[in-house]
Amino acid sequence: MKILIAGAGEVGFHLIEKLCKDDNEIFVVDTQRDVLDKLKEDYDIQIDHGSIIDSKFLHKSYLKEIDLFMAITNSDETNMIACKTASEAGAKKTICRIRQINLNSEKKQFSLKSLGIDWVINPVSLVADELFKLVLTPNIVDGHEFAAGEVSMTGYRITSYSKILNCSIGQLEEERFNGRFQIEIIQRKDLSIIPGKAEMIRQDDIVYFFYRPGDYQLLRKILGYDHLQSKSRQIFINGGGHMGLRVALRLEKANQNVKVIEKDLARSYHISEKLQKALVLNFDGTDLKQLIAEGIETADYFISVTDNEQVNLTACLIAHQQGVEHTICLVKQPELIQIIDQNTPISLGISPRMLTARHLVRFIQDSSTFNYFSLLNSQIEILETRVTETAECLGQPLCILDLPENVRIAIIVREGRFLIPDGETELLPNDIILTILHRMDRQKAMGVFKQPASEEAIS
Amino acid sequence: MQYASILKMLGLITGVLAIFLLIPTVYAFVLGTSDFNGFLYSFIIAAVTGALLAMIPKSKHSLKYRDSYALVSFGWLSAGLFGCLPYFMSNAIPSFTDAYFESISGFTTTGASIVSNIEGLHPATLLWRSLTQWLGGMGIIVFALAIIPYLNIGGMGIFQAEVPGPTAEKLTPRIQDTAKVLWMVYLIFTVALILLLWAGGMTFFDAVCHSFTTMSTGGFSTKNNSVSGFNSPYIEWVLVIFMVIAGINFALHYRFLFKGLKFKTYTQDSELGFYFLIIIFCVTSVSVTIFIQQGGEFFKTIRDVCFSVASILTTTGFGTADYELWPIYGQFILMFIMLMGGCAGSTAGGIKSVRLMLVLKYMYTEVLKLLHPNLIRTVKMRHAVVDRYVLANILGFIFIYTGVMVVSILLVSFEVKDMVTAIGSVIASLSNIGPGFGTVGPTENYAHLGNFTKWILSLDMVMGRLEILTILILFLPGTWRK
Repeated sequence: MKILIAGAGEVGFHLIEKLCKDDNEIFVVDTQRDVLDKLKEDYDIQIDHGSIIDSKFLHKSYLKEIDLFMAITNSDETNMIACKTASEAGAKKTICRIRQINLNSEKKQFSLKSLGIDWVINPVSLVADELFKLVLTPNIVDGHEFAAGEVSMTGYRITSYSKILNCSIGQLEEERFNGRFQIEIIQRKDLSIIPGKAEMIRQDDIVYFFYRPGDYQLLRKILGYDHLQSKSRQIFINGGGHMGLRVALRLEKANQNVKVIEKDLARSYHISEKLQKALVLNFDGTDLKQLIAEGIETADYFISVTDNEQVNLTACLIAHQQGVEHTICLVKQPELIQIIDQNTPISLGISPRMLTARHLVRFIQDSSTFNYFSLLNSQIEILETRVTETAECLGQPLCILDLPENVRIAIIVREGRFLIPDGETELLPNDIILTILHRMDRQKAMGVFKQPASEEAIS
Repeated sequence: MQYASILKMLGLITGVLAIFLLIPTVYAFVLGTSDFNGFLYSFIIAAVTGALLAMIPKSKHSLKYRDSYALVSFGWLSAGLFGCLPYFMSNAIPSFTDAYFESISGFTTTGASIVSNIEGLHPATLLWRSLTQWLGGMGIIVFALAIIPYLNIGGMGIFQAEVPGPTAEKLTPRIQDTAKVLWMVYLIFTVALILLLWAGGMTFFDAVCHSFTTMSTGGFSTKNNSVSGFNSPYIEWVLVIFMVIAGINFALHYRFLFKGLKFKTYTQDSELGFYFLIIIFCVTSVSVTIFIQQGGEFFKTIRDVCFSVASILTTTGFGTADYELWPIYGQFILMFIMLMGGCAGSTAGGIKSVRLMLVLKYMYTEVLKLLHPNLIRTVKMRHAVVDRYVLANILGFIFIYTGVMVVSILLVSFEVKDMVTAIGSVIASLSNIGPGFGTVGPTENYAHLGNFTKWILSLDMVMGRLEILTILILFLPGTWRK
């Protein structure tokens, strides 16, 4: 796949690193020569110095062949214009990073298409979504939809009060699941397990469930998490910038008690105009006295999202010291996340750049022929394939297929029905199958379900 | 002060009034009643004065804010003057004080009357009484704005000075179009009400007169016993509904009627929600008190309470039941809603529910600030921030409103003998209601009051209609300085 990345900032770096590992041709355009030179040394990419909204740029011959154009510079306007020109010049798909301009109108799709933008990626709303999920559905680690929404996958972190703790998978399938849910992957610390029936579920495991989207509430009930969503929590947000405001708005709509702490008076007034119920408090988020006066010890969550990572770290540490159970800290450098998670008492670090890069990688996967989805911090991937009419595997029981070890066919969606296969199941044309595999085995597995010589298999 | 411009505009407004005077004049001529001469002379005086003043050459200078306020104030005072000429000259009301009181009570949509035998008046005079209220309801000057392009030079200032509420809402880019659509909406509701009342057994003449005085929340009737004279539950319920409609912001009616007939327009408005909350609270609590303390027939009582609450809250002042016979609790509730009035931008008087609502919200914010010393919070309405200076203005308004009320009560008490009447008459005049308490209650009228009291109350009515500040500005020395 030919990918053009406009803007080699932090997000760009992260993205290039990920994309280089796969078989992609990458072009990078930026206005800063030194940044490009450094990139060229480290990665196998093509660089081009110049502004992407320059008219010279329109005549570049490679623009016509680009499969995916990503405008991720720091300027919203530049990104939008770049997407417009690139799509007119012949780029097949465009992604535009937008931070401040609000494109959330009812006719969103229409207006975006007319601007030549296929997808918008907004770091602020990504962080807000992530924080929202962390607070309202704290046990959900990751999720995805497969087979055009027929199958959902959600990864739950199993906590001490979960109803399925210390049950074996075989036992659960017999007693509770009724064939509605399927556990295919368990992530235990750094280890990814494709579990057998005897595997026990332990505390802090991340368990990935496959199910029909309609069964979501039932799943929460089985897990014992159904009361969590409606619970009202006390949430402190330190920093009333774009992110703080966005999170506060969403949490306030979900009937949570939100207090936003903002140091700047003028900004405080501004956000108090936008928020309906949330309280806006004007003081420094690291001011211990004020935090105590506002009842920091009653908080369930303390989220620090100021522009300054030092402030965020300090504020979270103070909150932790005051007894707040969940503290979430926003950092700019993705490298800091691991340090925070492992070496500090802060519950979680979150980085907009990392989220953005991760999200962008998923866009790339969505746009390829095979829909595959890689789990977080794991080598495990889930591959979605449609069985073609001429595939080799037709008409044979699954057990005799030449699949690598540790590749498992988890779910078959046949004519809209959800099927959990066993060794005797035979594949039919147009079945959609979800395969769990190690990323090293991807190429080989793809070959089995497709015609052997298909070029599409290489993405 | 731009005296020349103001006088010229006053002339134009008087001219408009003269055209309306022509209607009862023709009606009196057709019927051949004895008040024809009075109307004819009044028409001639108004027309000639208007024409002479309008001939003053155009001024190059545009109107300043103080000029606009002065224009509106004088416009209303002079409208009262020309409006009282027919009563005075046809000898329907021989005393000039009484005639002026009746006329200003009409224009300000108060509906306080000094006429004891209303049914004894000629039809043309009755029509003029109702017509003055209809004109005053949406505003004579807003009407003049709609039809005389010349007035646009003072535009927003004039509009702001006359339209009730903390901020006047411009519905269209041009002020003249806003004035037009407001009058259009007003006209549509009036015509609808005429047809409904006519269908319910009123004569066409009564239907027209009552529609005029209902939509303007005025309250003049053509019967001695007001609406109870018709003895028809249908008419009472129709009037309840239309009084409540007239107490709603006409900007909302405009959006509903001209922007797609969506009920969301109404349900999303927070002031309207507050208004209906007050209505429901008053009706239920007063009804329950009556049933507990006095008993009575269920449907009749409910109807009477609904009618009185709607009539008083919207500052109309029609009467069906004598609320002075109700339990004291019910009377107090009525007194409070007399002060509150309808929504901003409606034809109702009083402090307006939006001001009360915002003050309550502001107080809540202040209490919350005691709990959280560093709290930053803004008062919001319809998801938009209410400016701090608007809030200060509202607090100031309520203070001045109370101040004017207290001073008026003091002045009135020189002549009035009992306390309830003194307080009741001032509140009823200042809030443009009409019937008050004591000897000016729903079954009595204002005829027995002294001349001095009548002048004070007349001034209160104009102050209440123009929301005080417009008039008070005239008392500031700075207004008159060069």
